[in-house]
Amino acid sequence: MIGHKGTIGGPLMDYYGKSYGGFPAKVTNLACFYGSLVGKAAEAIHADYSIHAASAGFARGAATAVQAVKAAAVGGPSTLPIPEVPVPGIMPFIPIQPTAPIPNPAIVELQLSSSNYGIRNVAVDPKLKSKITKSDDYKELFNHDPSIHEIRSKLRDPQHFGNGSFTSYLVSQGKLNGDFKKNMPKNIGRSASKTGTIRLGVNLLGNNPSDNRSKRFKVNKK
Amino acid sequence: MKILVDPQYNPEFESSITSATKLGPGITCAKFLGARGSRTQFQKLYADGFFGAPDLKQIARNLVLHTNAMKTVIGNTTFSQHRLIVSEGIYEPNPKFETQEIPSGSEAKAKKLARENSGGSYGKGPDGWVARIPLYVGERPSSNSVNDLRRTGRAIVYQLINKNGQTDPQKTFDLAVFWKDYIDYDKLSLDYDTFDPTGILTSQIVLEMPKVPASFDVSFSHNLETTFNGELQAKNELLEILAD
Repeated sequence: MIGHKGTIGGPLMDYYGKSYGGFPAKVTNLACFYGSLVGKAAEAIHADYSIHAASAGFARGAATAVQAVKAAAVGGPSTLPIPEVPVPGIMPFIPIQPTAPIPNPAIVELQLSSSNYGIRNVAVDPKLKSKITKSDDYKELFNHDPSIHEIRSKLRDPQHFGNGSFTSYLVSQGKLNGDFKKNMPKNIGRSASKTGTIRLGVNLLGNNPSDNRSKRFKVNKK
Repeated sequence: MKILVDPQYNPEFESSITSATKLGPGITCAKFLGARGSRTQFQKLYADGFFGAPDLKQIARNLVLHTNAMKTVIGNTTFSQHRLIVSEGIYEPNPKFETQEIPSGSEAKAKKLARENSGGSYGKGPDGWVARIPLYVGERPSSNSVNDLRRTGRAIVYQLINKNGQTDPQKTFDLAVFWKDYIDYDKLSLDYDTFDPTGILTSQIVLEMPKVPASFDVSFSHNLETTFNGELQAKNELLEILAD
């Protein structure tokens, strides 16, 4: 994620990664979270180099220190190279004031909606879009290559069934049978009218034991 | 005729209708949304005029009748060797919207015009105040066609699949005759086609149901027809069409 300005993280955020680099200065890559942390610290117990520190327990060299308990040498800056104050260069470097607001949903949402690096409406070339979606090929009826089930569904509408350019394209693509308009069936079987159909019962009604005792009857003797 | 609905599956008692809303034992709305011929979601559907959300309760009520039809087949020994599937469920026309900018002269007029049109907005363009009115230019199913009725769940297309994973024209005819005698419907169409590129005969049943009000008081027309490749073969009669 790259941006010109903004704040990342929050009071309950943890960051993990291989390394965290910052602005590359002339002397060294000044920000690296394994071993050395370069920048402005409110307080530093031990620091090899500190550009600004409100308080330093021990410092070999300090460009500025409000308070230093120990210093490696008097006039340290004259014996040790003084790191230069980073100047905005390749990567955006915007120091964040300690009083800067902590990121919260409202700030993040505002940044996403208004920042140059947030969510943006992108215009796509209509010709390219129709080429990708194939909507032109399928006469705005499909945005993808349809299956035979989808084609069958679409052809239920008489206006699509009669759309010659649409159906001919489907036939040319091998997605629809060329004989799809043949309306004479080759073989016809049974037929059924609107009235009820005579059928044999399949469900057992009543108690019928295996020997069909309940169905037995005697013919009256004359 | 008043349809009796199991309170457990009555969509009227549901606070909201989702794809997980149960319409019957083992049958949810998803059954009619995930058909292989028309996969869609409730969130993608539009109202009749293509602006705004549809009446999902109306759709669910219409689907209750289809659920009752499906229940007559599930567990029926006559069709125990076959599987009834929804091949074409709720239909979502391919949508497309365009925005039309109408010069309005003043902010008040632009605001008024935007309010009068659903989804409208207004703003200041390079030539003054304009009202931006969205226009639906996508697919519009023919009025009262099967696809039009499918938008609200009034029509659903079924297939009876055999053990080979294909439709069985003979058994489909049996099912159409069974449904003709045992369920209520507005129109039952036995539909055959050879649309498949291999030329195989495919059979399906299109069930059209009336619009179901909240009272579930409906009347049925009981019309029949048989079609082959979209062409009417028999009216008020079911005809069995067989492969070569």
